[in-house]
Amino acid sequence: MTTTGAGAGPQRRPSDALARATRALQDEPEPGWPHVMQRVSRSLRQVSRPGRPLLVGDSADGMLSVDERVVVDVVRRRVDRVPGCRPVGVDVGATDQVVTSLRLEVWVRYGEDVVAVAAAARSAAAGSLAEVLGHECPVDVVVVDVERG
Amino acid sequence: MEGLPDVGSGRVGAPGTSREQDVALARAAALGDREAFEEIVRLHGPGMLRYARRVLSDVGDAEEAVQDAFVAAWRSLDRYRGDSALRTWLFGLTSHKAVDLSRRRRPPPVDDQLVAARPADVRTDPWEHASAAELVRALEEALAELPYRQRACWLLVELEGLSQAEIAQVLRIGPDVVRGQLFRARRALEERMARWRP
Repeated sequence: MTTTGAGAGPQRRPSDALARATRALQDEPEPGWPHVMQRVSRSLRQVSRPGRPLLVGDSADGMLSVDERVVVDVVRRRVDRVPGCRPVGVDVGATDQVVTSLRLEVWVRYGEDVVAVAAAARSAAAGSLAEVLGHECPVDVVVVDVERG
Repeated sequence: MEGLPDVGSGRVGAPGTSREQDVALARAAALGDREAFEEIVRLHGPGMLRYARRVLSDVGDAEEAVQDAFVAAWRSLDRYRGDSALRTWLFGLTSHKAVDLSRRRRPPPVDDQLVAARPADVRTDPWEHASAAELVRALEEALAELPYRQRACWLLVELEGLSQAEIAQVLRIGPDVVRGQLFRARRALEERMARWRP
């Protein structure tokens, strides 16, 4: 970086003093960061992102529900284990708190068999949904991009 | 993703890194991946803290601004769609928190015209033998005298390497305003630094 003023109107050479001081400032470490990182991590552990309650299994004996975020997280983790596939979006469709569908967006690694990877992702998502919710529901998989690794 | 490169291993969002990796981390975090978000914090936090510390001139306020910015980011990441660079978005959140703190706790900025009007003594060159620490201290003092917006524009372009268009997004002002603020900041800093004595 320099202090020459591209786009700053009439060109004006910065003084040597400012240029030297700017370089010194750029090179200065940020010694307080480890402490702040710990502080941020602690505060984040106390922050939840609540989603909708979703009914689980047979509710004849009373309502049992799971937060939508839990469902999304379980699906994400399972799909993330599919080789060559990265989940980038999980949208849960629900009516009256009953999950009716799931839309899964994924990136597929360049060179992979897209159809095979998408099928494996759907299977992983459907299986994890059935485990969490106790019932199956349709899963749409959309390959939104190809990732060049 | 098994078999794919670890997107957390590089300096995601830093100049020269992949926008794709940046978005991948953000999307994973939006889906609840706390490890991905911690990687975002690790990669972008030092720059955000550096900016907040210098724009606020107060370590405690800077730490609070960065912490609040990351909490806000965690809560709202599912609304981040990659229209702007993740780094720009995070700096925008930091800037927003910093402005809030600045309004609550800081005295009004010094009138730029009054300070700039002081004559500079150019008969001697005190910089010739100044140490890096003295240079930094002098520049920090000069920065602290600038009006907030000038200081913010200068820090974002000189220390964080943001473009003027990105600064306009971060500070929610027009590109022409950024250009003007930057010009005045540079001119004022040169004049202030010329007056400095160790």
